[in-house]
Amino acid sequence: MVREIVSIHVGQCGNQIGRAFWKEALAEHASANVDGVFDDCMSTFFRNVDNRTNRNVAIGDGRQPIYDLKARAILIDMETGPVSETNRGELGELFDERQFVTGVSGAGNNWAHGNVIYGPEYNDELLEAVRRAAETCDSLQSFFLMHSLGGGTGSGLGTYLLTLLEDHFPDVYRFSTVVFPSEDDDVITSPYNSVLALSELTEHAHCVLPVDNASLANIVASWDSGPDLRPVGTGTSSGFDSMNSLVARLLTDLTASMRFAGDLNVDLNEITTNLVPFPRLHYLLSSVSPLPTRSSAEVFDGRTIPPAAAGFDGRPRRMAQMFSGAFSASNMLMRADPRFVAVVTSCDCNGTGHRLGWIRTFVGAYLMASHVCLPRELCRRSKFLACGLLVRGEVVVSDVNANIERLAAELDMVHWNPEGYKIGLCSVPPVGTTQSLLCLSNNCCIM
Amino acid sequence: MAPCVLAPSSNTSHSLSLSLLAAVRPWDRAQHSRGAMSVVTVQVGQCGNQLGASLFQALHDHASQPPAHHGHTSGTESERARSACRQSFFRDGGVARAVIIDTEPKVIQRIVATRGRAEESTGAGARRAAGGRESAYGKTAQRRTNTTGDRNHSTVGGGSRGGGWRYDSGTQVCCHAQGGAANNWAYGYHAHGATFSEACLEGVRRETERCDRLTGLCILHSLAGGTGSGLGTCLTEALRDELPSAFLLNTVVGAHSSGEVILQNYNTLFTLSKLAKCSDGVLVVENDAATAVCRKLLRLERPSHTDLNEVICSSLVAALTPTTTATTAPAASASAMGTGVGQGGGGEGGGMLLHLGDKLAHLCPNKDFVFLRASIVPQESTAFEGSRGERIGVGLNQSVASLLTFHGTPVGGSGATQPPPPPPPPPPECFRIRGLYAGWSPTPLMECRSPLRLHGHERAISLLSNSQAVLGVLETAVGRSRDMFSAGAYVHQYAQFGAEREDFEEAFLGVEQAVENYRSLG
Repeated sequence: MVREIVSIHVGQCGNQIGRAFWKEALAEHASANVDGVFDDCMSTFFRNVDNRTNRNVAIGDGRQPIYDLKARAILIDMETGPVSETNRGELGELFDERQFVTGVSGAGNNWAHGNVIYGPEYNDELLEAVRRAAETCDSLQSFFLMHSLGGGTGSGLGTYLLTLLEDHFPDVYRFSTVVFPSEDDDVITSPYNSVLALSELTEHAHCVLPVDNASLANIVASWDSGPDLRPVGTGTSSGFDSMNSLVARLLTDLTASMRFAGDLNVDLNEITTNLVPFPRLHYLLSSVSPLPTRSSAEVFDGRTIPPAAAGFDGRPRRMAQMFSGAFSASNMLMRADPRFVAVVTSCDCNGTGHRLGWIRTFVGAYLMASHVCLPRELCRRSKFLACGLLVRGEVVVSDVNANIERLAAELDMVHWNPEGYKIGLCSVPPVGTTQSLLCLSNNCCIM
Repeated sequence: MAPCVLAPSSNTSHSLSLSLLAAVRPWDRAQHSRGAMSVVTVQVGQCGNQLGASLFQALHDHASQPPAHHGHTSGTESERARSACRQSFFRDGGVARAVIIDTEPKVIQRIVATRGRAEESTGAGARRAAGGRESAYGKTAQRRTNTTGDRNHSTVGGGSRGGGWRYDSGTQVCCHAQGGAANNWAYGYHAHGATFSEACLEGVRRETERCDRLTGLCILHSLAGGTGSGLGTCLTEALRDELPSAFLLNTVVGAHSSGEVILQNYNTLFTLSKLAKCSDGVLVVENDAATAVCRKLLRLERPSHTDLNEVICSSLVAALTPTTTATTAPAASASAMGTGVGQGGGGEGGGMLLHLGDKLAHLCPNKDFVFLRASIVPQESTAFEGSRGERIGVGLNQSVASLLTFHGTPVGGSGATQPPPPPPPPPPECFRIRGLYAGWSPTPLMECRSPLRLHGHERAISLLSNSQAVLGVLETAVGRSRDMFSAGAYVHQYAQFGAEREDFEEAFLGVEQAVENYRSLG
C-alpha cells in the first residue's frame, strides 16, 4: 500500500543516529496518530507484529490496533557494544534479535578491514537480514543507510553493503546519510577511510546527505550552555545525543511528505529525480529551519502534546525568516555556505572554510559542473544545481512562491536551471512546532 | 432520489423551496425526451484528483443553484440547462461520472473519504474539516454579501456548498507500484503506462458504459508531475484507440513558473508534444494565472491550492457545461462577420444545446491547432461594460476559433413577470474584428448563452478560445528545456525509463511545430 523504508545502521555512529532517529519517529507518530491505530503512514517505518503468532499484521483499512511495534531496521556493527546498548535501552523492544548483525572484534578504524575482510565474511548474513526486512514490505521504496565516514565499520562495511544492495535490489533507492569526520578528529586514518568510502558512495548511492560533526556541534552549542564535546568515539554524552537528534530530524522531515498527507506530496524518488541532474552529483546539502530548540523526543514526553514551542504563527515576517534561515550557513548540517562569495581560483575551494583535501574525488566532478555554468574565475558565488524545499505545517503554496521570488536574487542558480526549485507541502508539522522547512540543495559549495 | 440533492438549505425562503421542488419534475421529463449527452471525467495524479474534486463541487453547485429571483429567463430554460449540466456530469442522483487514477493512495483516500460516503448532511462542515479552510469563493462571496447586502450572492457561500454528490468508490484505479512516477514523465509514460493502462482503460470502460450517450471525456492532469503528465498522456493515447469517436478534452494544469517541480519543463514538453497528436483539444490552465486572480480579484493574500483549484474550476465549469447557441439577432451579427449559429434549433427556449463535443468540434477544426485557453469576466453592474469585454480580449490575439458564452440573467428589466426574454447583449466589438481570426476559418466566433449564473456572478462572460494566447506556455517549455537539454542535465533520468535523446528531439520538434503553427496565424 504505502511505501516502506528500511533503515540500516552501520557502525557505532550509525547506531547512535539510529537511536535518535527511532525516538524522533516514534514521537512524531505518537503525536500525529492520536487514535493509537496502525495506519498507513506508520507502516513506512514500522511493522505491526502480533506477538502471539509472531506474524505481521496487515494494515487493512488503517484502523488496526497496534499490537507490537517493530522497526523496519537492521542494526549492524562489528563489535557488540552499540547494538546491545540499543537493545538494552528503552528502544529495545522495537527490534528483535534477527535484525542484528554483529561481529566481535571491530574493524579497527580501517576501511579496508570493514570493506574487504568483513564484507565478504558477513555477506550472507547481511543479505539474509536485508531480505528478511524486505520481505515484510509491500512495496519497498528505499534503503536509508546511516554511517560515518571516518571509522572502519561504518565507512567500510557501510559502503560494502551499498554495493550489495545495488546488486540485489537495483530498483530500490539507496539514500546514505553519512557523517563526515570533524577536523580535530582523533582517528588518524579517517582521511583515508573517508576518501575510500566517498568514491564508493559516488558510484553506488542514489543520494547522499552528508552532515558533519562540527556544524552539528555549532547548532547544539547555540541551544544551551554549551555541549559536552568530547572527542568522537567516546561519545554517549548529551551533546552527541542532541547532535544525533538533528540528523534524525533531517530524516523525518525528508520522509514526512511521503508519509503524511499534504497539498503537494513529495515521494522519495522525486527527490532523486529532481535534485540529481547528473548521476554522480548526488550530494545534497541539507539545512533545517527554523532550528529546533530541543529534540522532539524531549518536547514530547508521550502524554501531552505541548503548545507550539517555537511560536510560529504563519505571519509573513516569520515565514520570511524561516526561508532566509534555510539558506544561511548557520542552519546547515554540513559546514558550507551556499551564499558565500568566494573567488574560486584553484581546485581546492578555499572559500568555503577549511575543506580538507581528501574530498577531491568528487571535487573534480563538481568543477566539471561549474565549467558548464561559467568560467571558474567568474564563479563568485557557489552555484545551485537544484534546490528542494520541503515545507511542513500550515504553509500554502503562495507563501513558498513569494519567498522563492524574494530569495531568488541572492541565490545563484545554474543558468540552465533558473527555476530549479522543487516544492513539497506536508500538512503535518514536526512535534512541538507549527512550521518547518527542510532545504536540500545540490550546491557547488559542498566541495 | 432527486429531491434530496436539490433540498434547499434551511434558511432559504419558503417560496424558493417550493419552486425548487416543483423544479424536479421537468428535469425528469427532459431526461426521457432529450437524453443529455454525458461527459466522463478522468482524474489522473495528485493535481488531477484535487482539481477534479473541486470541479465536481463547482459543477454540483452550478447545477443545483436556485433560480434567479428576477430576470427574464423562463423557468423551463434554466431548468433545461440545470438538468443538462446535472446529467452530463452526474448519474444516479449525485454520483460523479468520474474515474480516479493515481499511483499513490493518499490523495485518493483523502478525496474519497470526504466524498465517498452516501450523503452528507452539512456539506460545508465536512468541507471545512477536510480542507481546514473555507473556500476562496465562499470567503469573497460572504465579504461581498456583507458590503452590498445583495441576497443573491449569499447562496454561493451558504448551505448549497458541499454535500449532495459523491464519488463512486468502484471507479478508483489506484496503480500501486514501488513508487509514484517520481516527477518523471518517462517513468509515468513508459513504466506505469505499460503496466497500468489496461486497468485504467477498464475503469474508464466501466464508467462510460453507464452513460446513455457519451459526448466525450475530459482528462484532468498536470503538466509538471510524473503521474499526471506521463500516465495521463499514455491513457489519452490508449483512449484514442479505444474510443475513436468520442471527443477527448485534456485539461492540463501548468505549474508555477517560479518552479514547483524542477523537471516541469521537460515534462510539459513531452506531454504537449504527445497530446497535440492524439487529443481533440488541450485546455491549458495555469497556476500562475489562478494565483493572480486570487490575489488581485479575490484579494486573498495567501492563496492555497484549494483556492487556486476553485478559481480554475470556475472557468472550467463555463467551458464544460452545456450551453445554448444564441439564435437571436443573427442578421446583425452575420453582417459583421459569419457568426456560427446552431444548426439544430431544437428545444423550446432558443438555440440548440451545445455539448462538450460540439464545442470542441467548433473550436478545433484543424488538427494543427488544438490548444485552448479559457477565461471568464464577471459583470457586476447592469450596464454592459465594454472595457471589461476588451480586457477579456486582450489575451485573444490571433485565434482560430472562439466560443463566447453569456452566463446568467440577461441584461435589462427586473421583473420575473415579463415573459419574453430579451436578447443577450451583443458581444464587444473587439471580438467581431475579422482580422483577429484565421482567414481560412469560416465561422470563427460562436456566441452562446447559459441561463445559469456562473459562480454566483449575476452575469458573466466566458471565453474559450483557440488562439495565440497559448504561445507563452509552449515557448517557455521549449526554451527552458532546450537550455537544460544542451547542458545534458537530467537526461539520464529519462533514459533510464526509455526516453532517449531521439525522443527528446522528437518532442522538441512536435512542440516547436505547434509554436510555428500558432505564430503563422498573425
